[in-house]
Amino acid sequence: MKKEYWRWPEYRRTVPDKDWTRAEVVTTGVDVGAVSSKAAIMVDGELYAYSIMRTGASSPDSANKAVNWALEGTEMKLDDIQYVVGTGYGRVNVPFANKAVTEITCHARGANYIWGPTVRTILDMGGQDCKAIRCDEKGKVTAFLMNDKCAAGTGRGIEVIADLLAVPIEEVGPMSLRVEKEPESVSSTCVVFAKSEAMGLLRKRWPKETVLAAYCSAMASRIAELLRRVGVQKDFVITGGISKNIGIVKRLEDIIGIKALPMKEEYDPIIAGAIGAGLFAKDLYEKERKDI
Amino acid sequence: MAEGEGLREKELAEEGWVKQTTIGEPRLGEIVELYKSLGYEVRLEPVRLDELDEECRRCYESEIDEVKTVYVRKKK
Repeated sequence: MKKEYWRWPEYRRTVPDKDWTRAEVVTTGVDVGAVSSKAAIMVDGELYAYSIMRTGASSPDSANKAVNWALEGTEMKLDDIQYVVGTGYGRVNVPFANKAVTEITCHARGANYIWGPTVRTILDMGGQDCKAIRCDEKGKVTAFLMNDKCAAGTGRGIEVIADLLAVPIEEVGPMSLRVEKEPESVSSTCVVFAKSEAMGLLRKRWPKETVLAAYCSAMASRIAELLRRVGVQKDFVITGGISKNIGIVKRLEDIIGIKALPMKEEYDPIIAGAIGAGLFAKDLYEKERKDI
Repeated sequence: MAEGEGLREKELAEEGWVKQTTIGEPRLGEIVELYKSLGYEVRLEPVRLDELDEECRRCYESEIDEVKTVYVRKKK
């Protein structure tokens, strides 16, 4: 069987030492992205459990699977959840959601929860899009920009390159930094063109590290342009799958001259959107209850 | 997508419109909603294939009717 180098780890986690049975409000945020689906179970507005998995052919199925996996081993049932907010590419296809909220809004709120009220700029580098978001101290969006409809400079592009070079996706970033001298960037981050360009470089006997460096550098430049247009203010944070690619993050920080706040061990930056959705679910549930 | 300014982009810029992105559903509806909530007027323009790089044109040709270029300007 052919090894799938692009495959990133799917996993679930329960936050230790939290007792959900005494909670007043249990909510869930479900972020169905083009590439990954995430569910965040929130107990009284605090993260309790989450799951991260690949999105399948059906958004409703992916949403169901993500939530059921997050619940696994917790003794919590779907019926124990009082309010669900769907977000992401497939947000309107979350079958059990009480409401859908846009993912840019959710990412800003989730970043505010993870890193705190000093966050002013969020870069969400997802599977098939990239968003630069500015927010206030409450995590409310004040400005944003999204990349054009194109997988160039997104997680999907990295997956394609990882497979082409037969390098496990987690190794792409570190390996790209193992070059003595930074090569010229590939001329295009377009998935189709970069693939053929990378193949050409391999034929010229460029080491894999150098090809990866050339690709990561091109991606960083493309993303930096998006940030330049929206204007980066500190504190700056990165969410989404590519936030784990040190080769892109380091080059991006060098271009913009600002370091991103480090990732927090207890929160995977991929679930920022789902956390934000879970927090909106709590607000909406409490508002509805108050209105009754 | 080419970053070069096209004729239409220049015309619209004179009226205060700023090009944001070129995108299709379901993202399009989301960002239109969000820009409006931030106090912007939103204008959707068809994609100008003649203003695109060769490499981008091939992809956009197949979805020309679904993809729009989003322009915004602050409400007066």
